[in-house]
Amino acid sequence: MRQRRAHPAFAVFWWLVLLFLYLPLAVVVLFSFNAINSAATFAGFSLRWYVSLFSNDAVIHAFYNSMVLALSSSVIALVLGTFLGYGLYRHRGRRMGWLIVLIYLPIVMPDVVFGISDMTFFVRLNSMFGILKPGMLTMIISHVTFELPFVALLIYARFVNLDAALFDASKDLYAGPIKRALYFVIPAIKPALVAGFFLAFTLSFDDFVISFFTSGPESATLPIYIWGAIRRGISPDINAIGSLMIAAVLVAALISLIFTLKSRKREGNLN
Amino acid sequence: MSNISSPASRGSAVLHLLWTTGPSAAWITLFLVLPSLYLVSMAFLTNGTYGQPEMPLSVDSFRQLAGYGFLGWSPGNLYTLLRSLYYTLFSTALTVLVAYPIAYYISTARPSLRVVMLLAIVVPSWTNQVIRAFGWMNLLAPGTPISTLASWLGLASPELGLYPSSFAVMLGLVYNFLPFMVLPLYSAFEKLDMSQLEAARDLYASPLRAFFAAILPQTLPGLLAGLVLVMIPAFGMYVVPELLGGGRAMMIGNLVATQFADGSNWPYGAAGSILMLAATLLGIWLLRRLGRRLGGGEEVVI
Amino acid sequence: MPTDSATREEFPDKAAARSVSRDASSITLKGLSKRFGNDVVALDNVDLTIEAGEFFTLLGPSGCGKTTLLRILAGLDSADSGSVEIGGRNVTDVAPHKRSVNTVFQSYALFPHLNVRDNIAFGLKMRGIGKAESNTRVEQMAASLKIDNLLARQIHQLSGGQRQRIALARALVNEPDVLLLDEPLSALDAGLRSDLQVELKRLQQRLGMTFVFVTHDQEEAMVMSDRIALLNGGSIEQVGAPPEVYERPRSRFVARFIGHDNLFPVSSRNGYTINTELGMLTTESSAGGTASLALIRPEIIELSAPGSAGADPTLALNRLPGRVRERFYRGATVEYHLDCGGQHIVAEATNSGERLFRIGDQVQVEIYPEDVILINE
Repeated sequence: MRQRRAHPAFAVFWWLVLLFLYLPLAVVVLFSFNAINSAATFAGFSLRWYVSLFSNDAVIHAFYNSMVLALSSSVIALVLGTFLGYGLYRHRGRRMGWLIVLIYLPIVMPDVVFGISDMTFFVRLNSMFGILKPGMLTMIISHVTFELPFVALLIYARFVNLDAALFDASKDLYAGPIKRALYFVIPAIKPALVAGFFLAFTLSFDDFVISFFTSGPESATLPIYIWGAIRRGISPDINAIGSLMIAAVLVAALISLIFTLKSRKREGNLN
Repeated sequence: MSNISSPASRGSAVLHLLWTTGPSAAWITLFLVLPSLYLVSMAFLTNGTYGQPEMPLSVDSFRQLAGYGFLGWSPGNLYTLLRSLYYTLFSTALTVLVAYPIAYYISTARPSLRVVMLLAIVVPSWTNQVIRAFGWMNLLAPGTPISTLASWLGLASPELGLYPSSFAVMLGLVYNFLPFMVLPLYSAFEKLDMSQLEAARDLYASPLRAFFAAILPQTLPGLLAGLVLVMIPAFGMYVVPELLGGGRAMMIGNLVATQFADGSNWPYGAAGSILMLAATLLGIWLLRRLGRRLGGGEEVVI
Repeated sequence: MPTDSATREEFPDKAAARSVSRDASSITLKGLSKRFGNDVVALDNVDLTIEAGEFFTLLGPSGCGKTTLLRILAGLDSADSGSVEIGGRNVTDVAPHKRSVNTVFQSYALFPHLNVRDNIAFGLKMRGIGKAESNTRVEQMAASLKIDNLLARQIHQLSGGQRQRIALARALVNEPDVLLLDEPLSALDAGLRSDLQVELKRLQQRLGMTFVFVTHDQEEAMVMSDRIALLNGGSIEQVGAPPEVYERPRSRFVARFIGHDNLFPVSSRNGYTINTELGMLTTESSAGGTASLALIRPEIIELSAPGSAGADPTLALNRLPGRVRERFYRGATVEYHLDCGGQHIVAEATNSGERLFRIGDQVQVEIYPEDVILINE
C-alpha cells in the first residue's frame, strides 16, 4: 500500500492527546516521590511513601486478595471459556441465539447493575441457606462470570482462524480424541490460551465496581482499598500504590509489544 | 461440508454441544441471569424497615424513581437521568472529535509504528480506573497549575478549582473511553480507500466536505462500533462521577448504587437498575438498527 | 522428486512387502448413500471396487459427491447406509484414527504449531512409534521426496509446492494401505502442477500403493489415472480407463465433462445409418439397439477442400459440406468451428504445415463410420 502522508497539524494533535492521556498517570507517579504530604506542591524527592507502603498491613492484605482473586478467577474462566469457545466453534453452523445472548450479557450489562444483582442474590442466598457469604468466594464467582465471555470470544476467534481441515488431518493421522486435544488442539490454540489468561487476569485485577459490591469485610482488593483511602481523604501512599500498578501495566505493555511484533514477523507470510 | 464430522450421530453432536457450552451457560445463568431476575423482581416489592425488600407487591419503587416522595413530586431523579444522558452524549461527541484525527494519524504511520502508537493509546486504559480518576483529582483540585490557569482565565473560581465538577466528570469520561473509539475507527481507516479521498479532495476541495463525502461513509462501521463501546458503558458509569463529580454531578449509576449502600432502599434501587438495563438494551438496539440501515451493521460487534 | 533408480534404493523392501499384502489395499464400496440435511444428496447408492495398487481417480464437478466419497473412505464422514471394505475388512464404522488410510488434504492442513519434521512425524508419534525409528523413517521419506533440507523449517516459510510435498510425506511415512488425495494440486500454478502430476504418477507406480485421487480437472485425471470414475449428482456415471472414458463415453454427461462438444441427437436409426441433426450418418455397426446421441470427436474429423476425393472410399460415406466460422491456432493443432448445414461442429486438425483454412472457406467434412460414437441414454 502506498504510504499516506498526514498534515503536520495531526502530529501536534497526536502529542497533545498523548499528554492528555499520560498526564494524570505522570502526576500520580511524580507525587509518589513527594517528600511532603501534598498533592499540590512537590517538595523534593523521597521514597517515604513506598517505605510506608510495605509496612502497611492493609495494603499488603489487599494486594494478596487481588492476586488470589485474579489468579483463581482467571484459571476457572480460562477452563470454562475454552470449552465454551470450542463449543461455539464446532457448532457454529447451528442457530444459537440464546447462547449468544447469554455470552454477551456479562459484557453489555452495566457494572453497577451486575455488581448489585450479584450482591443482592448472594445476600439473599446467605440469609436463606447460609451459603455464599459475601467474601472472596462470591467475588471469584462474579469475576469468573464477567471474564468468561472475553476468554471464550478469544478462543473462538483463534479456532475460526485455524484451517478446519486440521481437525480432519489429526484424525487421519491416528490421533484419538485425547491425543487430538493434547497434541493438536491445545498446542494450536496456545497463543489464545495465554492471551485469554492474561486478559482475564487483567480484567479481574483492574475491576473495581463488581468487586466493590460483591466483597465482604475481609476481602478488600487493591482497587477497593484505594477507593476507601480516597474517600477517607487524600493520602500520598495511594500515589505509591498507583505508581506500582502503573509500572506493572507498562511492563505488561512492553511484553505485549514484543510479543505482537514477534508474532507479526512469524505469521507475517501466513496472512 | 459438515464440520460435525465423523461417525457422530445427531444425538452425540447435541451431547458435544452440551458438554462444551453447558457449564459456561449454566454458570452465567446461575450467577448473572438469576440474580438479575431476582433484582428485577425486587423492584416490585415494598421497602422494609431496614432497607430490605418485603411483601406485599407494590409499585412504590417506580413512583419513587419517577420523583414522588413524602413531599410530593420533585424533579431530582429526572435531573439525574437527564444529566446522565447529557454527560453521555456530550462526552461521546467529544470522544469522536478527538478519536477521528488520532485514528487517521495512526493509519498514516509506518505499519510497525502503528502497533506502538495503538499501544500508546490503549495503555492508560489498562491502569485501574480508580487510579486514573485519582490522577485527575490531583490535576484538577484547587491550587493546582491547571486549576489556577482556569481561574485566571475566568473559567473556574479559585476556591473551587476544576474539581469536583460536571466538567471533571465529562473529562473523566472522555479520558476513560477514548481508546474504545480510537481502536474501531483505526481499523476502519486501515481499510479506507484513499483514492476516494483524493477524488473527493479533487471534486469538493474543502477538507470538511471531503470528510463528509468520502471519509465518514467509509468509516461508519467503525464509528458505530465505537459508539456501542463508548455510549453504553458511559451511561452506566459509576466511578468517574462518584470521584470527580463530588456528589453534585451524580449519574444514574450512582443514584442506584446509593440505594444499596447508604440509602438502603433496595426496591427503589432495583427500579433504577431496571431503568439502566432498559436504557442499555435500547441503546444497543438503536445503534444496531442504525448500523443496519446505514449498511455497516455487520461490523458492529455487539 | 527422485529419479526411479534413486528411489528403488530408498524403498527397498516396500515394493516386495506390498506385493505380498496387495490385497490389503483393495477397496469395495457397496450401496453407499449419504445426505446432508434433507435435500442435498451427496451420494446415491454407490457401488465401486478399486483394485489394489491402482491409481484411481474420482472425477466430477463440484458437488458431485467425490469429496464426500473420499471423506467416507478416510472415515471423516459416515455414510447413511452401505458398507466400506478395505482389504477385505469391513471398516464402515471404524474411526478415522484407526484406519490404515491417509489423506493429502486440498489445503494440505499442515499443523501451524509444528515444524516440518514434527508435521511429518505426527502420525508415527500418534501411533506410539519410538523416536529413533520415527526419525529414521521421517528422514528417509524426506530424502526420497527431496525435502530433507526443509525438515527444520516452520510451515509459514514454505511455498505451495513445498507444502504439497510435506503433506504427501506426512501421509506416506505411515505406509498406509491406501493414500487418499483431495485435489492436492488445485492450489498450485499451472507449470508446477503438471510437473507434480507426472511425479505423483511415478511415485504411485514405484510404491505400488493404492491411490484414490479426487479432482475436477479431466486432463489431470486422464494423465494420471489407471482408472477413472465419473461422478454426477452422487451417482457414478462411468468407470473405466482413460481411453475408454474418453473414446467411449456412456452418457451425455460423461461426454460433456470429458470435453466433447460435437454431440448430436439421433432421431432414428435404421441398420447402419442414423438420422441426426447433422444429417444422415453411416455407422460401423448395426448392433446395439437404439441410440440417442451421436458423438464425433474433433480430432478424427477429416477436413479437405470441396471436390477433392480422399484416398479412402469409406470416408466418402460420411461427407458433409461445411463453412469455417472461427479458427483458433494452437500451435500443434488448429481448431476450426464449422457451420455444417446450420449445425455447429468443432474440428481439430493437426498442424502439418499445409495451408490452413481461413474463416469463410468452404470445406468438406468427412468422418469414418467407426468414428461415429453412439451414446445410448
